[in-house]
Amino acid sequence: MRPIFQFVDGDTSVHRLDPRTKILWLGIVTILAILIQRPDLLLALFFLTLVPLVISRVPMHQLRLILFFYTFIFIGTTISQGFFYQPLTGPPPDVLFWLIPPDTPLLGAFTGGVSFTLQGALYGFIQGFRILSMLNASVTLVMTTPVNRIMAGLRELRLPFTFMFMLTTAVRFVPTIIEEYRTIANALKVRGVAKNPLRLVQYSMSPLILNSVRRCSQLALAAESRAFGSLAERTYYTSVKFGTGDRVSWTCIGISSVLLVWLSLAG
Amino acid sequence: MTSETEINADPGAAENKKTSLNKPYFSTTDIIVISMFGALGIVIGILGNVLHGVSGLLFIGPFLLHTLLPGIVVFACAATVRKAGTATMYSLIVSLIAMPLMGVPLFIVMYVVQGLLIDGFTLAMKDRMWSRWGIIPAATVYGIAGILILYYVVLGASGLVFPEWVIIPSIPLNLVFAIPAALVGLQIGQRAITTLGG
Repeated sequence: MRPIFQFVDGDTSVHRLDPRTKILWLGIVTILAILIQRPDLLLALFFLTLVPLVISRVPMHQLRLILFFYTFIFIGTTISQGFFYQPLTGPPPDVLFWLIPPDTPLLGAFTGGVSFTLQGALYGFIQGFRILSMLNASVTLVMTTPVNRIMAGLRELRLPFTFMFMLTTAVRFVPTIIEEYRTIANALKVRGVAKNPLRLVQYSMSPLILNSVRRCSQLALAAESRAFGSLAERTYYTSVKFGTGDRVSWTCIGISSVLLVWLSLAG
Repeated sequence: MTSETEINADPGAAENKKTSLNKPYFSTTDIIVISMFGALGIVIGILGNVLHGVSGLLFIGPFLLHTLLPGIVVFACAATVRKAGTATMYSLIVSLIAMPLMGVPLFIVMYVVQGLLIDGFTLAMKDRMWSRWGIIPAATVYGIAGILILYYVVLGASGLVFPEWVIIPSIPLNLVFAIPAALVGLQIGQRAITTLGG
């Protein structure tokens, strides 16, 4: 098991940006995606978030994966809102078909009838752009920045050292946990204990956690023997610093954000 | 990491109470235990979002993948360390890594609020929290908050609206997953304490 979107090595201007710039970009896009209500501005935000992704020259196999995810998000939002969207004002939406007619015994009375509406489907399709804008910003961060540089960026954002240590250790533990799970799952399969995937998860959870906890004592001892937390000032192997590209990016992010917020408020 | 009950049962453990392991702040072991649970939470968080994303409209998705499995891990983490702040730290680690990695940064809010609520219970109930009946109120609030934040904050901020008849039945359904998750988490936490002690 591994994350769907992974770091792809490259030497584009987006790859060279300070991770803080990309973290800021993700934060601002999330806020803008929540604030913006107008469909045309949501579309504008979506295309704006595509720009760094295009510049970073995403490989074809990752692009296919992104398109696969886009399709599912559009199908999900369109179908769910097609069924559930109810406008607060204005005329009732045009019903394309009924899933549960209002005269159905019990369920019809409980739900008031469930229909698939044209306006709901359109509304859901447009809302898909809101989710995809956030996804684009996340993918840009993840695909163009290795985890150690994301950590360095977070560290430079003045997050407490202990918290950074926890984040780094957690990321370091992920492959170990996956490996441990594989071993336990294989052992359970060999013993014929778990053919059902749900049972497999149920039986493997406890040994997985307990084996990992056992390892924690040794790691804690190792950390303390290296004087963990004794020095206020620390040096780091990975460092990040602001460059011209970051200054240009910050200016572009600032201008586009102000413009989108202003257009959104102008109605 | 040693509960009052255990300290009372073992006179030698009373001495340990003076050591860093029993101080209100996190010891090195606590920090590493939370990180390890964080790693497991990251794996489950990613898995949950992938499966839920691909399953699209699977009704069972939110309950199984966003409540049951993450619930077991968060309660196991809190029940192992047993200090206020554990669940919040765990939630921050998981959400800051796993959620942006999956393109769903809004889930950070859900994780952090749930962590804060569990820590609120840890502070309010102290050692009474670490019993079957003590953990159920925390699990109930965890489950209710999870559904409300999912529908009103995560999906609401994404522009997706759902009628009351979807949200209201989801609450008891989510509790069906949240309470067993907390009980299993507590059981794992109790075993983990023994493992760490050994």
